[in-house]
This record gives sequence, structure tokens and C-alpha cells, in this order.
Amino acid sequence: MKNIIRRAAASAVLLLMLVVLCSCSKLTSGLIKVHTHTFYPYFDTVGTLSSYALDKEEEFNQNAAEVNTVLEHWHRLLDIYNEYEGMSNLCTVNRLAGQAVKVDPDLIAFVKYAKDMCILTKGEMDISLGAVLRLWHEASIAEKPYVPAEEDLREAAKHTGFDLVEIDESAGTLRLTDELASLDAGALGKGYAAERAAELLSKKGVTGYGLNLGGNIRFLGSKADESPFTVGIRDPLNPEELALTLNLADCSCVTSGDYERYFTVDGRRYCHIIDKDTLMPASYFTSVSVICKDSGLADALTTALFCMNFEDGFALISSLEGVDAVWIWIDSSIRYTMGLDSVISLV
Amino acid sequence: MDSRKRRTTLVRDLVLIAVLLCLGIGLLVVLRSHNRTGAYAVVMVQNREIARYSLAVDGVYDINGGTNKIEIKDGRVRMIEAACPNHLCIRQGWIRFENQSIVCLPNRLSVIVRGTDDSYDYVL
Repeated sequence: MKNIIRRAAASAVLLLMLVVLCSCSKLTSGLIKVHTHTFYPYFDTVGTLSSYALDKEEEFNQNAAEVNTVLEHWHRLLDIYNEYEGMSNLCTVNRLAGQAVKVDPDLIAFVKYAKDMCILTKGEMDISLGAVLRLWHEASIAEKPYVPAEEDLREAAKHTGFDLVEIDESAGTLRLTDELASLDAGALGKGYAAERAAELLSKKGVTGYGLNLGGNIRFLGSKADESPFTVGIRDPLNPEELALTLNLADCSCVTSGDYERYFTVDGRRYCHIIDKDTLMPASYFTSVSVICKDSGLADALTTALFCMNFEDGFALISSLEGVDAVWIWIDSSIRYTMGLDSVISLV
Repeated sequence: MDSRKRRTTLVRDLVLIAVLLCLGIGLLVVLRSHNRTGAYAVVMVQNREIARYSLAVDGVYDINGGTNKIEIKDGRVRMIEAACPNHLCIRQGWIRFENQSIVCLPNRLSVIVRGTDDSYDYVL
């Protein structure tokens, strides 16, 4: 009798262990309750702030509200389609091309940073390409999308270049010296704004957060259990599958893929990143990702690498401290810089 | 007598083992299937969840009072109709990874995949 009781007890324990083991994977993944907040509709995309920090909901909501304020501020400053009461933004500077426009000091700081990035990338990431980008934008949103005429693109290209942008810091003004020139922050704005939001959170000591602005992710620290964030990069040929995964913490990861934003004319796909050298969509790669601390730098470099051949791009990345990149070609071949060795796994 | 007793004990042991094995396998199956049906598509408008659909059940659903229509098939979800000018949301195609989302900006609506077994926090 005693034996049976003992056996029954032992069996019960075994059964319990089995059940725990079975549900283990679920338990660990469920350990961290993730808070998420969605931002609409800044930078023509959707943003999400997620906390893996095990912080209280009120605390998270407060942080989300503060991030929202930062994103809204930058969205308005960098908007090229709408103007807002009581402020001059990029749209104002473009509309008043030829005149000096008094703007928020933040906008001056942004344009200065954009100029640095333009120089660093030898003009491959250039916010002064507005005149050309406008033609592509109009073509892509037309009822029947079309490819802009080559002579129109060439003509527009005459009104591009950072030498047409006059920054007067002491007067706090921006001036486009060419009336047909315009600024377009699309290649840099999201990353720059995400970095400003991250700055604010860092100052408050926040860690364990991820801020995703339309494919532009900034991680603050690692998760509450000290594990890194796992990022899957899609296979451009089959975006339903992944090409590789990265384990990342306390850095930014920005990916540009030709499968993300594009339009189709006569069955041919035209992606949204325009190469200043050909004035046509860049076609060296199908996907480029940049991993480094500063999200503005990552955003700028992703666009630049997309428009450069591999050798030039690799040389650029290698010349920078703490910056890594992944290139994916149309034939699905993948190359990446050495810094990613320990965090990358190809699927 | 002694050997018969031993034999009955052995039979009982075997029965006990069999029962435990069945229970264990049964639990495993239940938990596994629970995991599989755990994935769903969450429909959000602004930051409010307005609906959720299991990815285990194929179907076509009108959402947000009919502004959009989603299709669920083979554990994936996609937007198939949308009352918006550019139809970017439809072009995004199927999604199935954890936290992946389809966004329809004009309708301020997003469809997010949640509750999968994926170990990814983000998919780019």
C-alpha cells in the first residue's frame, strides 16, 4: 500500500515535470509582457514603441506620450506637403525658394546634419534632390503610374545639390538659392527623428525599449531579461520568408528593400530609392541593412549604400567606427561586414 | 504466491506507465494545438483593438465597418479590399511573423500578427 502511494506520488511529480517542460517555451516567451503604442501617421508610415522592460503601464504610457511629442514635432518640421500654423517647415522653405526663411533652430540642426551626411556619402544621400524626387513621386501616385521622361529628370537634376542650400546660423534662416530647387527629407527624416526620441528616453534612463518607425528601428539597451532583440530581415525575392536574423541590443537597424515601397509600370517594378547618378531607381541590390548606434546615421547610410556598388559601399562602411551592413543581391546572395559575425544567422 | 504478487505488481506498473504515457502524450497534443491556434490577427484603429481573428481558421472578413477586408489562409493574413486611394496596404501582401503588420494609413487602421511561436521581435 505504502509502495503504491509512493509510486503515485513519484508519478504525479513526473507528470507535473512533463507538463512544465511542454509549456516551457510558452512560459519563457510569455515572461516579458510587452507594452506597445502605435503612432499615426508620422513620416507617411506607422510607428510603434514597444517596451520589453517590465515597466509599469502608466510609466510606459507617459514615455509613449513624450515620444509622440518628439515625433510630431519632427514630422511637422520635415513635412514637404503641408504647412502648419505658427511654424516654418521644409514645405515653407521649398515654397519660398529664393528667399531666406526664418525657421526653428531644430530644422537648422537637421539640415546641417543632412549636409554632413551628404558629404560623408559623396552625395549618394542628398536631401537637396527634391526637384528630381518630386517627379518620381508625382509619377508614382498618378492614377495610371508612369516613368518620368528622361529629359524632365535631367532638367530637374540641374536644380539639385547642396551648394544651392544656404544655411545662416546666426540669422536662423534657410534659403534655397535656386527657385526650382527643393528639399526632401525622406531618406533621413525618420531615422533622425527616431534618434531624437531615443535621446529623450535615454536621458530618462529608459532601457529595454524598441522604437520602430516604418522599418527604422532604434533599440534602447536590451530586454529586461538581458536578452537581445531578434530582428528578422525578409528575403526580397520572397518577402513571406526570412533571409537572415540578427540579435541586437542598444543600436539601430535600418533596412531598405525594393519590396517595400514601389510602383509598377508595364510589369516592371520601380522602387522608391532614386540614384542621383542615373536619376532612376537604384538597382544594385534588393535589400540593404545598416546596423550602428545612431539611427540618423543608419538611415542615411542605408539609402547611400543602396545607390553605390558593393566595393564602394563596403569601403565606406569599413571606414566608419561601429557601423555594420548587410547587402542582399537579386540572386539572393548575401554579404555582410565582420562586426555582425556573432549576431547574424542566415536562414 | 510470492511470484504471483510480484507479477501483479509488474502488471500494475505497466498499466500505470501506459496511463501516464497516454496522459503525457495527450497533454503534449493539447498544448501543441493550443500553441498553433494561439496566433491571431489583431485589427487596431488608432490604439484601440477593434477585432481579432484566429489565424488557424481560413476566412474573409469585413473590418472597421466595411472600410477594409482581410483574408486569412494557411496561418497568414492579407488585406484584399480597402477604401483608400493608394491601396498600399493591399500591395503589402501576406504577413505571418510575430508583430508583422499591414497598415492602411488613410483609414488609420493596422492588422498585426500576435501570439505566434516565432522568436522574432521585429521583421524588416
